[in-house]
Amino acid sequence: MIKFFQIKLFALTAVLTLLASLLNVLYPTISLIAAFFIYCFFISTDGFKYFCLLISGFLFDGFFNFNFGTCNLIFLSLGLFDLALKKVITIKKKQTNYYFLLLIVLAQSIFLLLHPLSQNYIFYFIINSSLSFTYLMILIKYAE
Amino acid sequence: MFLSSKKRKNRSLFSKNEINLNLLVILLIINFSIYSSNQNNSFFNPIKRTLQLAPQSVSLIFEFGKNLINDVSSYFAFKQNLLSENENLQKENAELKAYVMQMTDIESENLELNNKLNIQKKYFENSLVTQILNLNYKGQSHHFLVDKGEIDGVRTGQIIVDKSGIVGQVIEVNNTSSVIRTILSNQLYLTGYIKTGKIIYQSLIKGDGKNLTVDYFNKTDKINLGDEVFTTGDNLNIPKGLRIGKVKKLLNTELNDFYKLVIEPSSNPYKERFLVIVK
Repeated sequence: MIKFFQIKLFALTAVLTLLASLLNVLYPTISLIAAFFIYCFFISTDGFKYFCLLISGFLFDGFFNFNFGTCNLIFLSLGLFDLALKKVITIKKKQTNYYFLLLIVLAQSIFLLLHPLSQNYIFYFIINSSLSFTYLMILIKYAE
Repeated sequence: MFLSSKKRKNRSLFSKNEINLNLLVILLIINFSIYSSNQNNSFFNPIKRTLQLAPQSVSLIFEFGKNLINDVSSYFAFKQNLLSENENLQKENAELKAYVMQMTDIESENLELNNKLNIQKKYFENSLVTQILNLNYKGQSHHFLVDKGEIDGVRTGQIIVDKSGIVGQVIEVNNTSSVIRTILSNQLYLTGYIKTGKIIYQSLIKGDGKNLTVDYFNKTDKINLGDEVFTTGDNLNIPKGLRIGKVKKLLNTELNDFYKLVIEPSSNPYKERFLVIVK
């Protein structure tokens, strides 16, 4: 089931993303959301996972004026990617963080596909991926 | 990296639980169809609007502040622009007024010159248009300086006329200027005739400062107020038949048989800038 601290994580992500969206530079909003999804899907419990799937994606879409389904598309794509990868390769445990980074970059790429940028791709990837990864680590620490 | 090795042991690399692949794919398809559908409809729009409240209100505060600063700065910039524009327009207006005044002056001068040229053409073929330079020249009343002199062919004794009649006579000639004595001067004598119907009476006319006078005019000669007076002319400089003025008053004198005639001159050099010298 969903625990109270998980709701707090969601609220924290929403507030931080909201503040970040005011800057509106290279979509920093999606960085925090992607980190939150990865945390929910790969680290947290089942109940929270489905909460993510069903509700939080749509809430984020509504909050930030994306088309409904944008966040969940990213989330589901990551899940699908994970399932596919699981059947093909195995990765050592100490490579976990690299795997998270890969997922983050994948999430950013999917978002870029849905909302294409005309320039500054590299800058976008560097800034948003590092922001996303940092936030994911903070979430993991906070959850513990 | 960020996770310690202890903590990492508790986590699997991939998602821990088995997830139904079919469910995931179905969800993905549903999501994609929702995403790609047209969401500007009555179902999605109210939901979006409700959810957008929070970021919009925050961003509105920022937008409002930004707009306020922009408005205030643009107001001052606009005011400054208006002030400078106003100043420029005032300058331009003053210049235009000066220009119009100048043009008016030029226009009247042009008109006056045209008049003089007409006089020249109509009455005096051999004449010269001249401009008055100095009234009351050298402090003498009824004397003035004109801008034509010896090199223009002006000679002493020539007379000056305007559109109404005789004005005066050249009494001194310099190289490029001449001194004129007006008919009002008591030093200038003219021989003229008073025309009463078909009868004319000759007499000697001189100035008294304000008008012209005939000192002794025989009472037996019937004349009327308003009769016109013309020059008799001499063979040298004064042409015959130039208008001098009109009889204004008949005054009694110490001699019972004579009137003193006061003649109002028809010309007024003080109202002219240009005159014609008759050669």
